Amino acid sequence: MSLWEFERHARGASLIHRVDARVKLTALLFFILMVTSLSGAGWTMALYAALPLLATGAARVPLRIVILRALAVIPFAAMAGLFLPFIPPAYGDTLIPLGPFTVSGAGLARFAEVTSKALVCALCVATFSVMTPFSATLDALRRFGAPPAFVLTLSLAYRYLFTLREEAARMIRARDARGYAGRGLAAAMVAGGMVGALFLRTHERGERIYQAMAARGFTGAASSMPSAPLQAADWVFLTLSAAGIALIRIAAL
Amino acid sequence: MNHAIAAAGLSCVYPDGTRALDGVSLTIAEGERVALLGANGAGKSTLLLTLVDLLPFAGAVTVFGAPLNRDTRRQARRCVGLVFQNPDDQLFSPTLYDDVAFGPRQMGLEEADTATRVERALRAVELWDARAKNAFHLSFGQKKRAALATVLSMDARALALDEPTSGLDPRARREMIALLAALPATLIIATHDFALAAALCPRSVALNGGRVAADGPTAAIISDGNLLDRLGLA
Amino acid sequence: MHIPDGFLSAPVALGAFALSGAAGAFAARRIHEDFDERRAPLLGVTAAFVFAAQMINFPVAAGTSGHAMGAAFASIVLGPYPAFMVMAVVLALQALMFADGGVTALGANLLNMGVVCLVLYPLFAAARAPRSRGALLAASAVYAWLTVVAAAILCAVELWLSGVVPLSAALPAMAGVHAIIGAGEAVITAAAVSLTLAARPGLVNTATPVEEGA
Ligand SMILES: Nc1ncnc2c1ncn2[C@@H]1O[C@H](COP(=O)(O)OP(=O)(O)OP(=O)(O)O)[C@@H](O)[C@H]1O
Ligand SMILES: [Mg+2]
Repeated sequence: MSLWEFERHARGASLIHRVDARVKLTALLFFILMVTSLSGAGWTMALYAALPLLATGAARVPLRIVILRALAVIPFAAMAGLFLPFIPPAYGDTLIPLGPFTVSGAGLARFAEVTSKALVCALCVATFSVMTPFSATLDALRRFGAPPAFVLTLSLAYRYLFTLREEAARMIRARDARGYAGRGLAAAMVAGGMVGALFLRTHERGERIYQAMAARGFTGAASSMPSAPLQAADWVFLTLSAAGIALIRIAAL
Repeated sequence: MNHAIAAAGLSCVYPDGTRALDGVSLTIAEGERVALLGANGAGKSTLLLTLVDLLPFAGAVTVFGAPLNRDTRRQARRCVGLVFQNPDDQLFSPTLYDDVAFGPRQMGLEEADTATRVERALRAVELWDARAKNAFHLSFGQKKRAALATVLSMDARALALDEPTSGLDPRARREMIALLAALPATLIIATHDFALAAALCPRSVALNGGRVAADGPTAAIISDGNLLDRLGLA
Repeated sequence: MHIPDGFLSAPVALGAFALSGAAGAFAARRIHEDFDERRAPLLGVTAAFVFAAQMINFPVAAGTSGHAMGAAFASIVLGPYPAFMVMAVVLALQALMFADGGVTALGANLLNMGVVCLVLYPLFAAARAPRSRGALLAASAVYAWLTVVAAAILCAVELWLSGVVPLSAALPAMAGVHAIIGAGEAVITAAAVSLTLAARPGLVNTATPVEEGA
């Protein structure tokens, strides 16, 4: 995926798009904290899932894009699910047949709980990241007082992530174009050589970026960032989202 | 006549022992436009980097009257804007605007002052409308122009350009040459593009193996078959 | 294996944040010892590299494929403290932009993938003490293997403490599978170090690059 594809829906004219990233980030964190602090799944989880979906709809971003990004949690959940048959049943537990296995009812409930929490949180992260250009996220972090060195590193990581992935993809293509079909140890050694080569290029790039920065007067200090005040619309969004998130949480008590 | 850049006995050895520059002497007058010719590995890029003290060197360099050393290099880097060959090295910020604002901000300018300069530089390269984009989203030709804008915003008195037309299609190349022709600054341009040298630079300096092999009128140098043969440029 | 939000109980998530935070504060103070902070661009591109390197996968056996994790390699070439910062950035970026790994699990993921490399680094340093090429490559391989297996064990323990998986099954399974994945990682890391060593000997473990800076 290219950066263009990745940030395709990040800029838009919708109200949600125009909300300050500081506000979106705050709402996101509040959302995640509230969802993860729930005990048990159920209808509250469905209500929480509705919030990012609502935002996606309001921003007129294709739902598919958000859901696809949120699915990143599935492999981990599937891995954890593999252990379901091995959970010893608790006292008075119901045993539930699941394919060739019987699994502990309590274990299954716990698994459903954590997996749905993971999905709902990932949905919200995906909504945030699909609808916010990363440059705005960086500004927000800077204004929240994140260490300048950390923000600079984060910004460079994101900037070159896509460039280096393209470089890696070109190397892989060049390897496979030569009819490569290695296995086992030999394959791992070839892969290692490619990783090393990619690192050398990365390192050279790092040196040249450093020179390009130094040539323009970079001394290690972060450049200043004018602070922009929040608009009325930002406050409205913050209040509404926080109220919605809190209400669901209170109703679940 | 005032010298923009004067180098005497300039040598540069890379840590692996490669002697990339070997006693280079040259002077460039203020307002002059000089092409730096030479085969791959001749030392062009290295020379540009040493002129603003980005590589350790031996010998003497004077930039707008000030001898180049640790204490003066900040000033030298302000006076000589360096544009790298690969624009991906130069455009490292989240947005094009931030990239162009990087230099002015490092100079400690007010944000309002920075904004004026950024707008002027981006308009000069016709990329003002793309200011919110990430460099990754630009075409290669746009990236090359954007890289130029990142030093135009610093109001440098001299520009050192490393292969400004390499990798450009014919039209983007013509646009770049026209853009450079309109700049008032002293120019030193490392290039393999003879047409660019002929169009922009009355004078050329040819490097070979880290030494100055020829220094004179561009027209004479690029029509000297024997010389080009020796330089590996024929 | 990035732990998502929701899988960890509050005490586990908070405890992991405390440990990673402490390690981060320590690394931030020590980073200047072997890294010139004006070299910050190198950290950023190395973080991007760790992402990109994950694309380079290779078939292990029976249709499965392994891929480079990169954390151990980053520690070997940059030194442990800068590499820790790189991993923090990688994980933050993945959690915030790719929904890969949870925001509340950031502490735990950093513990598994960053702190582990930091803690095991002295072992690597001791093993490569003979300063021969062979010792360096062997130490790199063992270090990479250990970090992968230790990360898997920690992950299993964290999930167990959170009441999601039974330890009796998860620990051997996770450790066992990652012992195999780790072998691939070990070969990859050693081969990558070997290539880097051949091309730019100065890069490996003299953490600062060779030519001078501003
Ligand atoms: N980082 C480096 N480490 C070691 N040697 C280097 C390094 N960079 C360049 N060199 C060597 O220095 C010499 C001069 O290189 P330089 O990049 O200045 O050439 P150039 O004239 O710009 O060539 P090109 O037309 O290919 O850009 C070459 O022999 C090159 O191999
Ligand atoms: Mg060059």
